Amino acid sequence: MCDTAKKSASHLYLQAEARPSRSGSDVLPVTKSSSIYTLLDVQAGPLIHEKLPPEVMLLIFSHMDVVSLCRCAQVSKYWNFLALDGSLWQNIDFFAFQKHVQDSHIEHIARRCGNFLRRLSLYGCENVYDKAIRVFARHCHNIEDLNLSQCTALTDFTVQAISVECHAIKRLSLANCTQITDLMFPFLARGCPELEELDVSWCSMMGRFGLKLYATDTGSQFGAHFTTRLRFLRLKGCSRITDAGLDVLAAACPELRGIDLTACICVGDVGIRSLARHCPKLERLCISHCPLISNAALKCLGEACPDLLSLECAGCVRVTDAGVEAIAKHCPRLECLDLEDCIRLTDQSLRDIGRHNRRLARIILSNCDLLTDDGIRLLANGCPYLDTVELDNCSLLTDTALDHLRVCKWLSSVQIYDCRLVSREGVQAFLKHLKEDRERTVFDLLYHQSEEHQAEVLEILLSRQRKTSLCRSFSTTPPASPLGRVRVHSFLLPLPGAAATDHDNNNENQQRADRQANHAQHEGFHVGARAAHVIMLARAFLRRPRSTSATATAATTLANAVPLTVAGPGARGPAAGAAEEAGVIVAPPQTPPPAWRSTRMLEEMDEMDAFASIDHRNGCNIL
Amino acid sequence: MSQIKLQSSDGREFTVDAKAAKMSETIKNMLEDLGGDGENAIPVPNVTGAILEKVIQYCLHHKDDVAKPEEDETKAKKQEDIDSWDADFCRVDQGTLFEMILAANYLDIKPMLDLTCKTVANMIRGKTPDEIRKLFNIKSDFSPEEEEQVKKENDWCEEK
Repeated sequence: MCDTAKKSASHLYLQAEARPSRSGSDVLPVTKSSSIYTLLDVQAGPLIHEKLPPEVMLLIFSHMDVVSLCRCAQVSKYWNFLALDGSLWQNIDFFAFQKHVQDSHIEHIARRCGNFLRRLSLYGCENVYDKAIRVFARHCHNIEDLNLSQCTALTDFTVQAISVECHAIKRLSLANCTQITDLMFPFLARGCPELEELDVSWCSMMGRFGLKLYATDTGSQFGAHFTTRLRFLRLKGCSRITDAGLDVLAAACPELRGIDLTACICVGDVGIRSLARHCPKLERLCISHCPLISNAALKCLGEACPDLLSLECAGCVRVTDAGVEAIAKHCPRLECLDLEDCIRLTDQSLRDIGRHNRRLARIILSNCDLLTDDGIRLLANGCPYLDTVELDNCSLLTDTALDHLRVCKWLSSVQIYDCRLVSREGVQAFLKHLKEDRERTVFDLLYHQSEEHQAEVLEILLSRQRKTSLCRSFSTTPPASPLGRVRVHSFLLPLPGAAATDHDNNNENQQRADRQANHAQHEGFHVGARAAHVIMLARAFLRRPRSTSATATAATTLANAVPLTVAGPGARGPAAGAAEEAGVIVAPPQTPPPAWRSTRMLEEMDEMDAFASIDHRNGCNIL
Repeated sequence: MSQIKLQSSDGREFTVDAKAAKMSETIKNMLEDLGGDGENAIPVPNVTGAILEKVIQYCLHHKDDVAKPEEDETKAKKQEDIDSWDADFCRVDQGTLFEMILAANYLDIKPMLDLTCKTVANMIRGKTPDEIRKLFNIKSDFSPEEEEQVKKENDWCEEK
């Protein structure tokens, strides 16, 4: 057996010899000699070495997480050699260790991984400085996906280093890197021709230099490179970016498909007009909480960007029915529309949407309190594929609105938080109407009524859980915390999600919510976010001092039931399949269906405490 | 041809359901190359009878599994859940487990290889370097200085 091992070892031995000799003082002597053969000879004793050749050992190591790998590296020289094999380190995520990671660690790993490294996340590693990234860039030329979110110590020099060495980079996130400025754009334009996604959200210095520098100086280069690839750009909370700045950026990215301008408070109609003109292929746009936006912007968008799939303009209080009409009429492919807090909208808007946007799957109308039951009728009749409807605090709506919504067969989530005219009988009738044969329905109701009532509704849902996996959110009191209710939308790209706070459109809160959302998603919770969320709520419910026994029982049952019942990528799978068979065109889900993972959910919940602490009692709805 | 014969390195013969046997890419290729008449036993020279028995047990249990879609690379690393039958199946001594890994590797049965490797990985998970050495009877060949250095290089993942 020992012979077999040696024979196989020689194969790896050759590879090891062929590798360029590594230099650097902190690299172990092990790799300098680079002879695994001799190492194995020394270690011939243990059974595992006698039996298993190195390539099989690597297979075992490939099933390990980074912590185990680091520990294995300390076992012996042979194990050190194996555990630090580049092939095991193609995707590295330092998230769990963010506080401890320092320059020397990054440099060490960069030398070890070299060109194997494809994906690296240093999310939240605040002790990492430009120097480490320079070393990293020099060693890892093949990096494609680099997440430097919240590495607050990094500056524009980091981007420069990346642009000089890493020409293959496709996705770069610099969100919350507060020292990064718009001076980095020329570097990216020159050195990163493959860049497809760029996130510079909450970089408060972005725009400080006016974004004009390279429009004149290096304009041609900027244009020549950025044009071909960049698809998604996130500028959330870049409050220094003005209309002129947006014009320069948009002109450089004519292939842009999605842009997130949430809380870019200096962007107005002129900026959006430039954007619409320069980027006719735009599909997803978020201009939520840009208070300067008015109907003029929506009209330009409608005329120039007919392919629009998703538009979020929550909190754009100047928008009226005329703006919505322009969008509805010119963008027939629209699937997602967020009009939360557009308080001037009336039933007229819903009529236009119902008339033109047959493919609409998701609409948010919370706090639009001029809407009436009749508007909901027009909407429901015109948009048969509605999947999510949010009507929180639309105070004129009554049970009749729910009756109208029954025509939408694919509904999976309806929110009627604080609709005071909706009665418990109305809700129960609506729940009963949901067909039992619809599997994987996820139903959200945020509720204003008594806990006993909630428990009752819960019982109804639980009694049918075999057929209907469910997700429930509770709320009895209006949001009291500064954060309010945190809602995580799957917006633009699967990662990282955009978030918005209700009622309180203050930037700082949004930023916090955003971080929480990123945090949660980053941990992989996007995978089972809904289920995790339910458990979280159920637990919160149990902790509540005033909970009635009925509620407590229901919540316990829920907590126990959900990990088993939640399955599948949400409501649309089978429903959409059936509809397609019948020859009906079904709007695709806005995000790729996540692979659901329900096991281990409870364990993971404990890791999620930071996220859970936002505020359970007021309901926290992850969609 | 619903049944085929396999012969282990120590000469034992097994008659196996063809579908189960074909979970092994190696055997599947052999069958295609040889044209297989079902009469002559296919030799499996690198695997002993005892281990081949385990392999066949695994294949029979899993022959009707639906092929899993390619998993996300990043996710695959975290996956450590093993169902109870599989866990029982892997409850063997280290020597046997290693032989099973080798057999799965040689016969190219991807799910079994994943399962057995995962089992070993799970044995290692959560253990300190010292515990790992004890588990596999490995002696550290680091000098004290080297050990200190290796420790330093890898300490970022430890709780402080």
